[in-house]
Amino acid sequence: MTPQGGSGLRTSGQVAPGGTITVDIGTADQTIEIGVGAGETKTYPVGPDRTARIPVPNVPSGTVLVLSCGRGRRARIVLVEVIAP
Amino acid sequence: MLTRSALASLTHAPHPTFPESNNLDSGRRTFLTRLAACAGLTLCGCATLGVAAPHGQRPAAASSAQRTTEPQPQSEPQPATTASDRRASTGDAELDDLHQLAGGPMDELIRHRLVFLVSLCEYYRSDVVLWRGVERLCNAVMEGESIPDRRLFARFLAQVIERADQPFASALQSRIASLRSQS
Repeated sequence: MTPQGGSGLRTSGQVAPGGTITVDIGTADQTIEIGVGAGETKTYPVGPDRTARIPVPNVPSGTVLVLSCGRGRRARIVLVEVIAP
Repeated sequence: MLTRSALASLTHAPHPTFPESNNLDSGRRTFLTRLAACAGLTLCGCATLGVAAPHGQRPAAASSAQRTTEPQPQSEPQPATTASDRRASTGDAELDDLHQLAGGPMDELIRHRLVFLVSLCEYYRSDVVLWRGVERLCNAVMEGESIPDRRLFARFLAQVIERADQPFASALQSRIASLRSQS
């Protein structure tokens, strides 16, 4: 799996449905959002070890998930693809 | 061999005069006078710049003087921004920023591609100017521009178009298959 990010967020580039996404957060943000680039997003807290463990949402394989902290040009964003198990 | 008298008659012979020669001389004199005047003015200008400008700023002063005298090109190739895009502030600083990205340099748009797309999807889904930026990103992917995580980004771009409201993304629907097949 290809590591993604490098500008604040680090995670693997692919996850399987039903799995968990572990994200290393290199910023001071206390929460991280996950969505699919449209519609609603879900917010998860960042732990004291500066990581967040996010369950993979129930989406079809091939979907690209968007993990983000912050907003505007200062936002940190990383993409993760859901692959078939 | 020429005799001394023949030689003397040659050397003291009056120069032949032609009307054209006089005109030529006066024309040449005028040209030289004007050339000298131009050179003098140029020297005066340089000296003035050299004296008036502080030592460290001389090249800048000279270049600015050069800029003012150089003719401006009539029409430079513009990026995708049109006159209607260069609108006044929307009152939303973030949207203004995204508008600049949408019509600005391609490398800047590629650098901020994720922020651009996510902001569009979450907050400005019906902004026509931003959708023009999406079209530029599609073109960049198709044309093989250097984009980090290219395959993943192409798939995300396809997903954004798929999930967009019809009026805005309809022109880009035909590119979804190509974007998904990017490697």
